[in-house]
Amino acid sequence: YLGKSPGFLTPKRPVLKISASKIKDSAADWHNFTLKWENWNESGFTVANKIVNIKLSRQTESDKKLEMEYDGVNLNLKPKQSDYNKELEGCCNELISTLENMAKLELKMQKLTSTIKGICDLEAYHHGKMGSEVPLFHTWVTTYFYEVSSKLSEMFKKELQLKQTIVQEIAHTDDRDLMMVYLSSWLYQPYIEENYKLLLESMLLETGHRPL
Amino acid sequence: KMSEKQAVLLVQQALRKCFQVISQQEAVWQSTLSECSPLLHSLGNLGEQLQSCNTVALKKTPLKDFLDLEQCLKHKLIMAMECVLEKLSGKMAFLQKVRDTITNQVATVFQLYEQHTGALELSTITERSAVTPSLANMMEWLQDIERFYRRRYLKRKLLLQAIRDDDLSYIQALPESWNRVLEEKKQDLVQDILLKVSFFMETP
Repeated sequence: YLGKSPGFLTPKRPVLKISASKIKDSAADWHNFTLKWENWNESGFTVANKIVNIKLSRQTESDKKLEMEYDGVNLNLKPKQSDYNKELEGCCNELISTLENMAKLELKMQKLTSTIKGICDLEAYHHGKMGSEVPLFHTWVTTYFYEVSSKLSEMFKKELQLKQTIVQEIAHTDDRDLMMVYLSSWLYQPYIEENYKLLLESMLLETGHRPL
Repeated sequence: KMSEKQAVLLVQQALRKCFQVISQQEAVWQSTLSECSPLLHSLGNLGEQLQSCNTVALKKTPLKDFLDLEQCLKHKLIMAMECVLEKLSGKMAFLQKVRDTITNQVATVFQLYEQHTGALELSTITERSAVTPSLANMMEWLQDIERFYRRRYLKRKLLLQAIRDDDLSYIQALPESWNRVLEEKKQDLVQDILLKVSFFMETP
Protein backbone atom coordinates (compact mmCIF):
# COMPACT_ATOMS: atom_id res chain seq x y z
CA TYR A 1 0.00 0.00 0.00
CA LEU A 2 1.40 3.36 -1.01
CA GLY A 3 1.00 6.25 1.39
CA LYS A 4 0.20 9.79 0.42
CA SER A 5 3.05 12.12 -0.24
CA PRO A 6 4.96 13.71 2.58
CA GLY A 7 6.89 16.85 1.79
CA PHE A 8 10.10 15.53 0.30
CA LEU A 9 9.28 16.52 -3.23
CA THR A 10 11.55 18.94 -4.96
CA PRO A 11 9.63 20.14 -7.98
CA LYS A 12 11.45 22.23 -10.54
CA ARG A 13 9.41 25.31 -9.66
CA PRO A 14 7.98 25.98 -6.19
CA VAL A 15 4.71 27.24 -7.71
CA LEU A 16 4.09 23.73 -8.95
CA LYS A 17 4.50 22.18 -5.57
CA ILE A 18 0.79 21.75 -5.02
CA SER A 19 0.16 20.30 -8.48
CA ALA A 20 3.05 17.92 -8.06
CA SER A 21 1.93 16.64 -4.71
CA LYS A 22 -1.62 16.21 -5.99
CA ILE A 23 -0.36 14.21 -8.94
CA LYS A 24 1.83 12.15 -6.69
CA ASP A 25 -1.17 11.36 -4.49
CA SER A 26 -3.18 10.43 -7.55
CA ALA A 27 -0.50 7.99 -8.65
CA ALA A 28 -0.63 6.34 -5.22
CA ASP A 29 -4.42 6.20 -5.45
CA TRP A 30 -4.23 4.51 -8.83
CA HIS A 31 -1.91 1.92 -7.42
CA ASN A 32 -4.13 1.20 -4.44
CA PHE A 33 -7.36 1.17 -6.46
CA THR A 34 -6.06 -1.37 -8.93
CA LEU A 35 -4.82 -3.61 -6.12
CA LYS A 36 -8.28 -3.52 -4.57
CA TRP A 37 -9.83 -4.19 -7.95
CA GLU A 38 -7.69 -7.27 -8.44
CA ASN A 39 -8.70 -8.54 -5.01
CA TRP A 40 -12.39 -8.06 -5.76
CA ASN A 41 -11.88 -9.70 -9.08
CA GLU A 42 -10.42 -12.78 -7.45
CA SER A 43 -13.08 -13.13 -4.79
CA GLY A 44 -15.76 -12.43 -7.40
CA PHE A 45 -14.37 -15.18 -9.58
CA THR A 46 -14.57 -17.67 -6.73
CA VAL A 47 -18.25 -16.86 -6.28
CA ALA A 48 -19.01 -16.90 -10.01
CA ASN A 49 -17.30 -20.27 -10.23
CA LYS A 50 -19.50 -21.55 -7.42
CA ILE A 51 -22.61 -20.36 -9.23
CA VAL A 52 -21.59 -22.23 -12.37
CA ASN A 53 -20.85 -25.37 -10.39
CA ILE A 54 -24.22 -25.26 -8.68
CA LYS A 55 -25.91 -24.85 -12.06
CA LEU A 56 -23.91 -27.67 -13.61
CA SER A 57 -24.53 -30.07 -10.76
CA ARG A 58 -28.22 -29.37 -10.98
CA GLN A 59 -28.03 -30.11 -14.69
CA THR A 60 -26.42 -33.49 -14.09
CA GLU A 61 -29.02 -34.27 -11.44
CA SER A 62 -31.88 -33.57 -13.81
CA ASP A 63 -30.07 -35.51 -16.54
CA LYS A 64 -29.93 -38.48 -14.19
CA LYS A 65 -33.57 -38.07 -13.45
CA LEU A 66 -34.35 -38.02 -17.15
CA GLU A 67 -32.39 -41.22 -17.70
CA MET A 68 -34.25 -42.94 -14.92
CA GLU A 69 -37.58 -41.94 -16.28
CA TYR A 70 -36.46 -43.17 -19.64
CA ASP A 71 -35.66 -46.54 -18.13
CA GLY A 72 -39.19 -46.62 -16.85
CA VAL A 73 -38.05 -46.69 -13.25
CA ASN A 74 -39.75 -44.20 -11.04
CA LEU A 75 -37.62 -43.62 -7.98
CA ASN A 76 -39.49 -40.44 -7.31
CA LEU A 77 -36.31 -38.46 -6.99
CA LYS A 78 -37.14 -35.00 -5.83
CA PRO A 79 -33.96 -32.98 -5.89
CA LYS A 80 -34.12 -30.48 -3.11
CA GLN A 81 -35.06 -27.61 -5.36
CA SER A 82 -35.37 -25.13 -2.53
CA ASP A 83 -31.86 -25.87 -1.25
CA TYR A 84 -30.43 -25.29 -4.70
CA ASN A 85 -32.26 -22.05 -5.04
CA LYS A 86 -31.16 -20.83 -1.66
CA GLU A 87 -27.55 -21.60 -2.34
CA LEU A 88 -27.72 -20.09 -5.79
CA GLU A 89 -29.42 -16.99 -4.50
CA GLY A 90 -26.82 -16.57 -1.76
CA CYS A 91 -24.01 -16.73 -4.29
CA CYS A 92 -25.74 -14.33 -6.65
CA ASN A 93 -26.17 -11.81 -3.87
CA GLU A 94 -22.54 -12.17 -2.96
CA LEU A 95 -21.52 -11.59 -6.55
CA ILE A 96 -23.78 -8.55 -6.79
CA SER A 97 -22.22 -6.98 -3.73
CA THR A 98 -18.74 -7.68 -5.11
CA LEU A 99 -19.79 -5.96 -8.32
CA GLU A 100 -21.09 -3.00 -6.33
CA ASN A 101 -17.72 -2.65 -4.68
CA MET A 102 -16.02 -2.75 -8.03
CA ALA A 103 -18.43 -0.16 -9.37
CA LYS A 104 -17.58 2.16 -6.47
CA LEU A 105 -13.93 1.65 -7.19
CA GLU A 106 -14.43 2.39 -10.85
CA LEU A 107 -16.22 5.61 -9.93
CA LYS A 108 -13.22 6.61 -7.82
CA MET A 109 -10.99 5.95 -10.79
CA GLN A 110 -13.11 8.24 -12.94
CA LYS A 111 -12.92 10.94 -10.29
CA LEU A 112 -9.19 10.52 -10.11
CA THR A 113 -8.94 11.12 -13.82
CA SER A 114 -11.02 14.28 -13.61
CA THR A 115 -8.86 15.51 -10.73
CA ILE A 116 -5.79 15.07 -12.90
CA LYS A 117 -7.59 16.78 -15.75
CA GLY A 118 -8.29 19.68 -13.39
CA ILE A 119 -4.62 19.96 -12.48
CA CYS A 120 -3.69 20.00 -16.16
CA ASP A 121 -6.21 22.73 -16.87
CA LEU A 122 -4.93 24.77 -13.95
CA GLU A 123 -1.35 24.42 -15.12
CA ALA A 124 -2.32 25.49 -18.61
CA TYR A 125 -4.22 28.45 -17.20
CA HIS A 126 -1.36 29.63 -15.02
CA HIS A 127 1.57 28.94 -17.25
CA GLY A 128 0.15 28.76 -20.73
CA LYS A 129 0.71 25.93 -23.10
CA MET A 130 4.48 26.26 -22.93
CA GLY A 131 4.54 26.35 -19.14
CA SER A 132 2.71 23.10 -18.78
CA GLU A 133 5.25 21.39 -20.96
CA VAL A 134 7.84 21.60 -18.20
CA PRO A 135 7.88 18.27 -16.34
CA LEU A 136 6.71 18.32 -12.73
CA PHE A 137 8.98 15.44 -11.83
CA HIS A 138 11.44 13.92 -14.26
CA THR A 139 10.30 13.59 -17.82
CA TRP A 140 6.51 13.47 -18.02
CA VAL A 141 4.63 16.59 -19.05
CA THR A 142 1.52 17.10 -16.94
CA THR A 143 -0.86 16.23 -19.74
CA TYR A 144 0.76 12.82 -20.03
CA PHE A 145 -0.49 11.95 -16.54
CA TYR A 146 -3.96 12.75 -17.75
CA GLU A 147 -3.46 10.66 -20.86
CA VAL A 148 -2.36 7.63 -18.84
CA SER A 149 -5.05 8.10 -16.23
CA SER A 150 -7.87 8.35 -18.73
CA LYS A 151 -6.52 5.36 -20.61
CA LEU A 152 -6.60 3.33 -17.38
CA SER A 153 -10.09 4.64 -16.55
CA GLU A 154 -11.37 3.61 -19.95
CA MET A 155 -10.11 0.04 -19.49
CA PHE A 156 -11.74 -0.38 -16.10
CA LYS A 157 -14.94 1.28 -17.25
CA LYS A 158 -15.34 -1.16 -20.13
CA GLU A 159 -14.44 -4.06 -17.88
CA LEU A 160 -17.06 -3.01 -15.36
CA GLN A 161 -19.74 -2.92 -18.07
CA LEU A 162 -18.78 -6.44 -19.06
CA LYS A 163 -18.92 -7.60 -15.47
CA GLN A 164 -22.35 -6.04 -15.01
CA THR A 165 -23.64 -8.11 -17.90
CA ILE A 166 -21.99 -11.24 -16.55
CA VAL A 167 -23.55 -10.78 -13.12
CA GLN A 168 -26.97 -10.25 -14.65
CA GLU A 169 -26.76 -13.30 -16.88
CA ILE A 170 -24.53 -15.93 -15.34
CA ALA A 171 -27.28 -17.66 -13.38
CA HIS A 172 -29.73 -17.55 -16.26
CA THR A 173 -28.12 -19.78 -18.82
CA ASP A 174 -27.90 -23.53 -19.12
CA ASP A 175 -25.37 -23.36 -21.93
CA ARG A 176 -22.16 -24.84 -20.57
CA ASP A 177 -19.99 -23.06 -23.08
CA LEU A 178 -21.57 -19.72 -22.40
CA MET A 179 -21.03 -20.20 -18.67
CA MET A 180 -17.41 -20.92 -19.46
CA VAL A 181 -17.15 -17.70 -21.49
CA TYR A 182 -18.67 -15.75 -18.59
CA LEU A 183 -16.16 -17.27 -16.21
CA SER A 184 -13.11 -16.74 -18.37
CA SER A 185 -14.24 -13.20 -19.16
CA TRP A 186 -14.53 -12.50 -15.48
CA LEU A 187 -11.15 -13.94 -14.63
CA TYR A 188 -9.06 -12.81 -17.58
CA GLN A 189 -10.59 -9.32 -17.88
CA PRO A 190 -10.32 -8.96 -21.66
CA TYR A 191 -10.62 -5.18 -21.68
CA ILE A 192 -7.83 -4.53 -19.23
CA GLU A 193 -4.77 -4.60 -21.41
CA GLU A 194 -1.68 -6.39 -20.20
CA ASN A 195 0.33 -3.19 -20.43
CA TYR A 196 -1.71 -1.53 -17.70
CA LYS A 197 0.65 -2.58 -14.96
CA LEU A 198 3.52 -1.19 -16.98
CA LEU A 199 1.71 2.14 -17.36
CA LEU A 200 1.02 2.18 -13.66
CA GLU A 201 4.55 1.31 -12.67
CA SER A 202 6.02 3.98 -14.91
CA MET A 203 3.70 6.51 -13.31
CA LEU A 204 4.90 5.42 -9.86
CA LEU A 205 8.48 5.64 -11.03
CA GLU A 206 7.97 9.10 -12.48
CA THR A 207 6.34 10.42 -9.32
CA GLY A 208 9.02 9.00 -7.06
CA HIS A 209 6.99 6.26 -5.40
CA ARG A 210 9.45 3.81 -6.83
CA PRO A 211 13.20 4.36 -6.72
CA LEU A 212 14.70 5.26 -10.06
CA LYS B 1 50.63 -52.81 -15.05
CA MET B 2 47.43 -52.67 -13.04
CA SER B 3 46.36 -55.88 -11.42
CA GLU B 4 42.95 -57.32 -12.13
CA LYS B 5 41.87 -56.68 -8.58
CA GLN B 6 42.73 -53.01 -8.82
CA ALA B 7 40.85 -52.73 -12.10
CA VAL B 8 37.75 -54.31 -10.56
CA LEU B 9 37.88 -51.93 -7.62
CA LEU B 10 38.19 -48.92 -9.93
CA VAL B 11 35.23 -49.95 -12.05
CA GLN B 12 33.16 -50.77 -8.97
CA GLN B 13 33.95 -47.37 -7.51
CA ALA B 14 32.82 -45.66 -10.71
CA LEU B 15 29.64 -47.75 -10.75
CA ARG B 16 28.89 -46.86 -7.16
CA LYS B 17 29.30 -43.17 -7.90
CA CYS B 18 27.13 -43.49 -11.00
CA PHE B 19 24.28 -45.18 -9.14
CA GLN B 20 24.46 -42.47 -6.51
CA VAL B 21 24.13 -39.80 -9.17
CA ILE B 22 21.23 -41.69 -10.72
CA SER B 23 19.49 -41.90 -7.39
CA GLN B 24 19.84 -38.14 -6.85
CA GLN B 25 18.81 -37.32 -10.38
CA GLU B 26 15.79 -39.58 -10.18
CA ALA B 27 14.61 -37.53 -7.20
CA VAL B 28 15.09 -34.32 -9.19
CA TRP B 29 13.19 -35.89 -12.10
CA GLN B 30 10.26 -36.90 -9.93
CA SER B 31 9.94 -33.56 -8.18
CA THR B 32 10.17 -31.70 -11.49
CA LEU B 33 7.46 -33.92 -12.91
CA SER B 34 5.20 -33.20 -9.98
CA GLU B 35 5.64 -29.50 -10.65
CA CYS B 36 4.53 -30.08 -14.23
CA SER B 37 1.12 -31.54 -13.31
CA PRO B 38 -0.57 -28.31 -12.23
CA LEU B 39 0.84 -26.57 -15.31
CA LEU B 40 -0.62 -29.21 -17.60
CA HIS B 41 -3.88 -28.92 -15.77
CA SER B 42 -4.04 -25.17 -16.43
CA LEU B 43 -3.07 -25.74 -20.03
CA GLY B 44 -5.93 -28.19 -20.55
CA ASN B 45 -8.24 -25.79 -18.77
CA LEU B 46 -7.23 -22.88 -20.98
CA GLY B 47 -7.78 -25.10 -24.01
CA GLU B 48 -11.28 -25.78 -22.77
CA GLN B 49 -11.95 -22.08 -22.30
CA LEU B 50 -10.75 -21.25 -25.80
CA GLN B 51 -12.89 -24.05 -27.15
CA SER B 52 -15.97 -22.61 -25.44
CA CYS B 53 -15.08 -19.22 -26.90
CA ASN B 54 -15.16 -20.78 -30.35
CA THR B 55 -18.36 -22.71 -29.74
CA VAL B 56 -20.51 -19.88 -28.42
CA ALA B 57 -22.03 -17.54 -31.00
CA LEU B 58 -21.62 -14.40 -28.90
CA LYS B 59 -23.89 -12.44 -31.23
CA LYS B 60 -26.78 -14.51 -30.01
CA THR B 61 -26.03 -14.05 -26.32
CA PRO B 62 -26.42 -11.22 -23.80
CA LEU B 63 -22.80 -10.38 -24.60
CA LYS B 64 -23.72 -9.29 -28.13
CA ASP B 65 -23.01 -5.62 -27.43
CA PHE B 66 -19.38 -6.33 -26.63
CA LEU B 67 -18.27 -6.46 -30.22
CA ASP B 68 -14.58 -7.06 -29.68
CA LEU B 69 -15.03 -9.38 -26.71
CA GLU B 70 -14.22 -12.59 -28.53
CA GLN B 71 -11.03 -11.19 -29.96
CA CYS B 72 -9.88 -9.61 -26.69
CA LEU B 73 -10.73 -12.64 -24.60
CA LYS B 74 -9.02 -15.05 -26.97
CA HIS B 75 -5.99 -12.83 -26.95
CA LYS B 76 -5.86 -12.96 -23.16
CA LEU B 77 -6.36 -16.71 -23.07
CA ILE B 78 -3.64 -17.30 -25.63
CA MET B 79 -1.29 -15.05 -23.67
CA ALA B 80 -2.07 -17.05 -20.54
CA MET B 81 -1.42 -20.23 -22.44
CA GLU B 82 1.92 -18.98 -23.68
CA CYS B 83 2.84 -18.08 -20.14
CA VAL B 84 2.10 -21.64 -18.98
CA LEU B 85 4.00 -23.10 -21.92
CA GLU B 86 6.99 -20.98 -21.05
CA LYS B 87 6.95 -22.32 -17.50
CA LEU B 88 6.62 -25.84 -18.86
CA SER B 89 9.58 -25.42 -21.14
CA GLY B 90 11.55 -24.30 -18.09
CA LYS B 91 10.62 -27.60 -16.43
CA MET B 92 11.55 -29.47 -19.60
CA ALA B 93 14.97 -27.88 -19.44
CA PHE B 94 15.36 -29.36 -15.95
CA LEU B 95 14.34 -32.78 -17.22
CA GLN B 96 16.77 -32.48 -20.08
CA LYS B 97 19.53 -31.65 -17.64
CA VAL B 98 18.72 -34.78 -15.65
CA ARG B 99 18.88 -36.83 -18.82
CA ASP B 100 22.22 -35.28 -19.84
CA THR B 101 23.74 -35.71 -16.40
CA ILE B 102 22.87 -39.37 -16.45
CA THR B 103 24.11 -39.86 -20.01
CA ASN B 104 27.43 -38.26 -19.10
CA GLN B 105 27.84 -40.21 -15.91
CA VAL B 106 27.13 -43.51 -17.66
CA ALA B 107 29.55 -42.60 -20.45
CA THR B 108 32.25 -41.97 -17.84
CA VAL B 109 31.80 -45.45 -16.40
CA PHE B 110 31.96 -47.04 -19.84
CA GLN B 111 35.08 -45.11 -20.71
CA LEU B 112 36.80 -46.32 -17.58
CA TYR B 113 35.66 -49.84 -18.27
CA GLU B 114 37.07 -49.73 -21.81
CA GLN B 115 40.41 -48.53 -20.43
CA HIS B 116 40.75 -51.53 -18.14
CA THR B 117 39.04 -54.12 -20.21
CA GLY B 118 42.41 -55.73 -20.98
CA ALA B 119 43.00 -56.46 -17.32
CA LEU B 120 39.61 -58.08 -16.80
CA GLU B 121 38.94 -61.75 -17.40
CA LEU B 122 35.48 -62.78 -18.59
CA SER B 123 34.99 -64.82 -15.44
CA THR B 124 35.70 -61.74 -13.33
CA ILE B 125 33.22 -59.65 -15.25
CA THR B 126 30.41 -62.12 -14.72
CA GLU B 127 31.34 -63.00 -11.16
CA ARG B 128 28.82 -62.03 -8.52
CA SER B 129 28.22 -62.47 -4.81
CA ALA B 130 25.22 -62.28 -2.54
CA VAL B 131 25.58 -58.52 -2.16
CA THR B 132 27.42 -57.51 -5.32
CA PRO B 133 25.86 -58.04 -8.74
CA SER B 134 28.29 -58.81 -11.55
CA LEU B 135 30.04 -56.00 -13.39
CA ALA B 136 28.41 -57.18 -16.61
CA ASN B 137 24.94 -56.92 -15.08
CA MET B 138 25.53 -53.53 -13.60
CA MET B 139 26.93 -52.15 -16.86
CA GLU B 140 23.86 -53.46 -18.63
CA TRP B 141 21.56 -51.81 -16.09
CA LEU B 142 23.30 -48.51 -16.60
CA GLN B 143 22.56 -48.75 -20.28
CA ASP B 144 18.94 -49.60 -19.57
CA ILE B 145 18.61 -46.60 -17.30
CA GLU B 146 20.22 -44.25 -19.76
CA ARG B 147 17.98 -45.40 -22.59
CA PHE B 148 14.99 -45.13 -20.29
CA TYR B 149 15.69 -41.49 -19.44
CA ARG B 150 16.24 -40.62 -23.06
CA ARG B 151 12.93 -42.21 -24.00
CA ARG B 152 10.88 -40.74 -21.20
CA TYR B 153 12.28 -37.28 -21.90
CA LEU B 154 11.67 -37.57 -25.63
CA LYS B 155 8.07 -38.69 -25.21
CA ARG B 156 7.22 -35.65 -23.15
CA LYS B 157 9.12 -33.34 -25.42
CA LEU B 158 7.22 -34.67 -28.43
CA LEU B 159 3.90 -34.25 -26.64
CA LEU B 160 4.62 -30.59 -26.06
CA GLN B 161 6.09 -30.01 -29.50
CA ALA B 162 2.88 -31.23 -31.14
CA ILE B 163 0.87 -28.42 -29.50
CA ARG B 164 -0.77 -26.11 -32.02
CA ASP B 165 -2.88 -23.07 -31.26
CA ASP B 166 -5.68 -24.30 -33.46
CA ASP B 167 -5.80 -27.87 -32.17
CA LEU B 168 -7.71 -27.25 -28.98
CA SER B 169 -8.90 -30.81 -28.46
CA TYR B 170 -5.26 -31.90 -28.40
CA ILE B 171 -4.51 -29.29 -25.74
CA GLN B 172 -7.55 -30.31 -23.71
CA ALA B 173 -6.44 -33.94 -23.78
CA LEU B 174 -2.86 -33.09 -22.92
CA PRO B 175 -3.04 -33.60 -19.14
CA GLU B 176 -4.29 -37.11 -19.77
CA SER B 177 -1.74 -37.89 -22.47
CA TRP B 178 0.97 -36.63 -20.15
CA ASN B 179 -0.20 -38.87 -17.32
CA ARG B 180 -0.34 -41.85 -19.64
CA VAL B 181 3.41 -41.51 -20.15
CA LEU B 182 3.66 -41.80 -16.37
CA GLU B 183 1.61 -44.92 -16.23
CA GLU B 184 3.80 -46.97 -18.50
CA LYS B 185 4.85 -50.38 -17.27
CA LYS B 186 8.52 -49.63 -17.04
CA GLN B 187 7.89 -46.72 -14.71
CA ASP B 188 9.64 -48.53 -11.86
CA LEU B 189 12.72 -49.52 -13.85
CA VAL B 190 15.02 -47.05 -12.13
CA GLN B 191 13.74 -47.83 -8.64
CA ASP B 192 14.00 -51.57 -9.28
CA ILE B 193 17.59 -51.33 -10.40
CA LEU B 194 18.51 -49.03 -7.53
CA LEU B 195 17.04 -51.63 -5.21
CA LYS B 196 19.15 -54.36 -6.77
CA VAL B 197 22.34 -52.38 -6.19
CA SER B 198 21.44 -51.00 -2.78
CA PHE B 199 23.73 -53.39 -0.85
CA PHE B 200 26.49 -52.86 -3.38
CA MET B 201 26.20 -49.09 -2.95
CA GLU B 202 26.53 -49.39 0.81
CA THR B 203 29.72 -51.45 0.75
CA PRO B 204 32.77 -49.25 0.92
